[in-house]
Amino acid sequence: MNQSLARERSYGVSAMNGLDPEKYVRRDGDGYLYVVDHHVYLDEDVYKAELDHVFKQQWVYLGMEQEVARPGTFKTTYLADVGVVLVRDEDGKLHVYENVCLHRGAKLVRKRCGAATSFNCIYHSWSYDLKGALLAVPMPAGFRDTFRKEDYRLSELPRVETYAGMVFASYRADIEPLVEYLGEFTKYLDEILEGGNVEFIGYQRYHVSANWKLFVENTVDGYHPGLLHTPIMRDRGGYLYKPGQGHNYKFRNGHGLLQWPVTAVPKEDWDPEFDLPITYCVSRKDGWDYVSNIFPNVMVLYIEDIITIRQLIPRGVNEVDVITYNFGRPGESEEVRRHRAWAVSSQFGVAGVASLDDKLAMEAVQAGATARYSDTVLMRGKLSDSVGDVTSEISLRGFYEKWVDCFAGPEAQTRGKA
Amino acid sequence: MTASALAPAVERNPESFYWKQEIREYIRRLGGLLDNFEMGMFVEEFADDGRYQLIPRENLEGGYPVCLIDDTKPRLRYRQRLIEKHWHYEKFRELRMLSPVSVDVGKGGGAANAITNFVIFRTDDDGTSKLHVCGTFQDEFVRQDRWRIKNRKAILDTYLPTQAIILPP
Repeated sequence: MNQSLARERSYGVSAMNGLDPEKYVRRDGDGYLYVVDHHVYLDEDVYKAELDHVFKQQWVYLGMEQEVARPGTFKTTYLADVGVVLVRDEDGKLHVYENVCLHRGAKLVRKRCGAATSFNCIYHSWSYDLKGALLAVPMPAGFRDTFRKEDYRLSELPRVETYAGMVFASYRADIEPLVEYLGEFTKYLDEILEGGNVEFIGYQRYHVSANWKLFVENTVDGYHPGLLHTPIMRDRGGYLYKPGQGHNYKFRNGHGLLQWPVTAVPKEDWDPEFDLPITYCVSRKDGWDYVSNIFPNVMVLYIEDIITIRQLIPRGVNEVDVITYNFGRPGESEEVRRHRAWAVSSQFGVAGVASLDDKLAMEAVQAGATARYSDTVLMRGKLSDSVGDVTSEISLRGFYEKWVDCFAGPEAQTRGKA
Repeated sequence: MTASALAPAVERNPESFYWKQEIREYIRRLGGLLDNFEMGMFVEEFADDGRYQLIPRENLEGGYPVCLIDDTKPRLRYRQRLIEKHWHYEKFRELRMLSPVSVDVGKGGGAANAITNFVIFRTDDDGTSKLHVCGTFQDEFVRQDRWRIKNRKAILDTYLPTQAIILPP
């Protein structure tokens, strides 16, 4: 009885658990999506279908290579609703296992992170090596004759790949290589993360009582910052950018990106009583700021000095955990490092000037969505375009086009192609 | 931060005893200001170069500088304006439950360090009460015209806060 998920389990369900995804969106005469039904935030059936079709059929971000930099280091996290352990074995290879003992189903690795030479279940002391093999079973004589340790391996996800230091895994053995899945988006990751050559400077974690998709929507919604957040800032031209100053892209596979020029305020003009630390920038004077999503559950932000990755872990139809990973550049000065940390501490997280209001807005949408016969309107920008003004809703439409395609099987994966 | 949980249970120096009592009362009063939504009065308790940090314990222990709040006194005033005028939250009340305070007072009574554990409950407008956050204050006080906050580091044990942290713990 080999437990390999790749061989024994199939998540290639072709129907959305009997539901039709097209029922949840509205399209114009040319087939362009522009309305999303509120049921996508509310229905348990939709959520359960998402776990199988969206999360378990795509590349899903689990963390950073530098969190498991040395052989034997591990972290535990979730891929959708499944607890997993990411570990680097003695040979330096990354593995992702379902975090469960094969014997009686106890959670195997109970620490958030650490280093180990083997994993031992607390219940009956079954132990596994870092490559997933069953090492030892106490009192083996008591098992029936056909029991062989060699038949048991931890349930391993068939695909684990990295890009720019980000670790992704997939339940789908035949999914396209990660670099192809990311496509054009890789050039932005190359710029923001410099091939993974970034230094971790801390986590922020919090919970939002809203459907996970509302968090994605909020992050790549270039329409709201100048409206929801502007009252909390002195007039810097309507937040960090004005309409027409940047772009909003959708890419193949549902990835999206907003960009606008760096608009650093000179430090001498910066007033600590009125201006946010984010609005003066000490690490660069020009270039672009980026806010982006990689379908389905990870967002990469580069705003002035802030370099942040956000990982979403859905916890139910209206609950999502948010983990943010924040970075600096190796070798940067104390001043730059201090300012990066200060900017992200001020701006983001559960007490952050902007993220706090974002959280409240998402929770307001979740509460409002109980008006089940209303819809979410995504009509800013020309529906047929794959690039538009930064305040358009192009990347959001791209996200939902991919979301629909997730339920239609692999052959539809290119339908949302920009 | 030198306040020790192993400090003598009974303070035999009357002056030091008095100062420690002052600090304990001061910490209790600071909590009361926030419970009563007196953010402006709380901010004015800081020395001009005072600082408030709310840092997740995992970042503190990992040596990472990212916080959830990292405010100078001007930034605290800014936060006060957000709370009073701009943030879009629904009405709530908070209750700060503070542990006994461990205090060290410097010679001459010009500075003091203190450690206090905190638990904060939040009651929403509909009357639902929940544990909000808990952790530990590491405080540094200076005596100016009276005691002022030089540094308050609030170390957050709550791993995954569920509600927005509007008032500083």
